[in-house]
Amino acid sequence: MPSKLIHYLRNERRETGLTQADMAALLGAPWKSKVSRYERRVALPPLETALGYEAVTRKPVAQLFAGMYDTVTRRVKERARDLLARSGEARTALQSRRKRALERILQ
Amino acid sequence: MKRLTDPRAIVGIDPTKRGLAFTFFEGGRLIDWGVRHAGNAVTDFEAILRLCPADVIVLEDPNAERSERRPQMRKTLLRLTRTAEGRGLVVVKVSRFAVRQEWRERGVTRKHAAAKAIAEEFPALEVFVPRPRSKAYMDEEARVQVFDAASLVLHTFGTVDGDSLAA
Repeated sequence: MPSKLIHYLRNERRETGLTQADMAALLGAPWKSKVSRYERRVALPPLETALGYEAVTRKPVAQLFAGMYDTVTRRVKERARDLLARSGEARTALQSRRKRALERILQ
Repeated sequence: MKRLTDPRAIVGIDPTKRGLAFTFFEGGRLIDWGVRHAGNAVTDFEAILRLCPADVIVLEDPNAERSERRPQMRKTLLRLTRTAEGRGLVVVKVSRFAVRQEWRERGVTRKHAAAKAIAEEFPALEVFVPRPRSKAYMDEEARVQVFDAASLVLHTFGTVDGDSLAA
């Protein structure tokens, strides 16, 4: 079943027992309001912060941002399907490698 | 750690004079919980739904047999039901008496004991377990309501061991 939330930052923080102030200190944010904005999905954290969350919770970013990961994966698959449909028959080794890569995305 | 038997996004709501207590489950896991008290129950309810995009709402049935809710709270429950149905959500109404009966069968007769039992199944709620009331005239702590909201959901859907329902 696809995730309905774009991320689970609030849930993961609360499971660790850390406060928003702790999380802000760990992520190098000046105030806990930054963490609150991320958790309420008012703002999306930048890549560095997302990786910071991974370091704190020891869970991969794809799992922390499960809903967003599902959406992105679905879109990438749609694009891969389009690319595959547009590309002709693979004649060279490079072309067949490319085709295999696109097929792997669709699996 | 336990999981709900139903993997859908489920919100349990318990309205009180101190706001709306809620618990949010998704994929069987407890995702979010808390009490919102901005003043208006419907506004609070919509704010909760923004944070917790649910498919199913579990509410107390104010018209169930032996319901002890006062008229004001009955109206609030009916307003919440209408709001949820207006959004096309599945609304499950549960009799509070039936929930209490189920706890009683498990040997749990007090809210504090029920809160402890729920926290054992969902350890993230351990910090929310209220202190037992030492005097009968003392008001119960607001966080007890979170466990009441969780009770409604657990009674409706039941739990299984965490590993047996992989998300």
